Amino acid sequence: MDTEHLICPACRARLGTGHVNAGLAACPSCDTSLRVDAFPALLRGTARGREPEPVVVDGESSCYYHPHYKVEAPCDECGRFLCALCGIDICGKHLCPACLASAQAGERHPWLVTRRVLYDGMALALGFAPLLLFLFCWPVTLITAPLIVFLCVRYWNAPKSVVPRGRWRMPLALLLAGAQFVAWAGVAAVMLFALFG
Amino acid sequence: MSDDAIVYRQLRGRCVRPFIGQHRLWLGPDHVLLASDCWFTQSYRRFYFSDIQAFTLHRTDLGKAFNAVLATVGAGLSLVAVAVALAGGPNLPALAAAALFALLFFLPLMLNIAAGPTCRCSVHTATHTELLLPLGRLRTAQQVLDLLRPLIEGVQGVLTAEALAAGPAAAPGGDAAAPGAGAPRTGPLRVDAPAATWHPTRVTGRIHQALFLTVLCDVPICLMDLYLRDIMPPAVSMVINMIWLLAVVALTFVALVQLQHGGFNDAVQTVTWLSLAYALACVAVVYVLQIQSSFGPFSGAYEEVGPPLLGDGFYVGVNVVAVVLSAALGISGLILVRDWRRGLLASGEEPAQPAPPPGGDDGAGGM
Repeated sequence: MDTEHLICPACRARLGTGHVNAGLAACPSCDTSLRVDAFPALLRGTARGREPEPVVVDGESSCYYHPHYKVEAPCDECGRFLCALCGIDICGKHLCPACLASAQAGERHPWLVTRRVLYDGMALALGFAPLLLFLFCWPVTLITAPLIVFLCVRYWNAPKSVVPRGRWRMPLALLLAGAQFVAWAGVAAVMLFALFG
Repeated sequence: MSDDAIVYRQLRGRCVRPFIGQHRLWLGPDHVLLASDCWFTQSYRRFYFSDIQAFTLHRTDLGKAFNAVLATVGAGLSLVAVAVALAGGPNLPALAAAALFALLFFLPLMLNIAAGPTCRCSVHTATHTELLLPLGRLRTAQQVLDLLRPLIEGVQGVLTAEALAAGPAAAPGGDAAAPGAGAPRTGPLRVDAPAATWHPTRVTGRIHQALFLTVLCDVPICLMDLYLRDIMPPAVSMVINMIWLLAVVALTFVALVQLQHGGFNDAVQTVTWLSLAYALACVAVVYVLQIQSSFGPFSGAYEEVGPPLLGDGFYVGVNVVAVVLSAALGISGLILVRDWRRGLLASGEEPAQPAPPPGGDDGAGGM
């Protein structure tokens, strides 16, 4: 997006600069209420990366990945020397591509996490689904109850959601699984009692 | 920033997607986080204050349309219900049922009116545009933007009308108009966004919408099977079911072929495969029912008393489970495809009207 593309989102008509940062106003073309809040980054555009400087003096430190380019800064994680091409400034750290990739894969930094599996929600859904469809799905609890216990034990300490999220789901799922086990034990006891008096 | 867990503060507004999850906005120390739930996975998108170019917001008529539909349907059905209840003299239970029936429509209507007018809000950065689904209400969106604006201006500075009128030319090096702006956050690796290329086989999502709509049609079909069994000939029910099944299987295969062209997100792919599994399960159930009704020991009595070998409970159970599953699949599929299409529209790619621009590229970005 740039200033050339300041258009009404509804009718795509070109907007004057008077509509920017002016609060809720009507589009001059379609009369739709709209608001455009713009910031200086709009004029900055997309910055181009700096060109790495070649090594000119013999014996000068060179980039780990590009031996013919001059070092600009070391990687904050592994300490390898990096040229201007290789260094990535992200959230106050200067990383090499390998460290960035491994940090993202290992979820070492919260600001690199792009996805999390919510095992607590999974366990809770497994606990509640047979109850919601109790009439037709109750035999499924024979499978879901042990599965809930497995999920809770296996993933109790797994990384949770990046955003604040209550920790009540897994205990509640375990309670539901326990209730299902007790119910099955009761059914088994009644059947044994009926069979053997 | 330290490696400690980032403390997020929840922003107002949410977008609930039935059977799928929800979208929420969170405020971090130097960015806004969009957290999207899709079943048991939560994905995150971060918009750093230093990267945000603009927010755009415009009012939509979706809320008004929703109000009109709810009010019309609710009033009409309530009148019918009251008329039926009063037909045989005052009947308290029937009136109570009619009132409950009306409440089912009027309660969402009241809630929708209370939530205020609807809007669409997008955030723009240099590389892409993202629709902020949680900010679907005008009042909430304005409050959130009012909260974010000073935070972003604290990082980037204030964009004056003069600087905006002068355009990028007034900003030598691209940063002159941004007194508070520092170096680009990602530094050396920032490159221009690649221009989107035009694909002759670009998928539009229409087939997937048709598929999930067809899956959703199983809800009335199953309810019809349940409640109109006594008055509907079995042959009619069978023909309707067969047509539906053929349509779902055909659409599923076309949709799966379209998945191969790429472009769909994981959620749409998953729900499409689930639709195939559901269609195959339906084929299996219909096959079992037909076999046992044709060759079972009580095959002649099927038309009078329903499936004899597996019993009436099985028949009812299968239909109830089918109603739940088809509603879940259909609604979640339609919502996911709608979100996917919105994402394309927000990023400037119009999926429904792919047109090759001169030179073979279409414009990237846009507002």
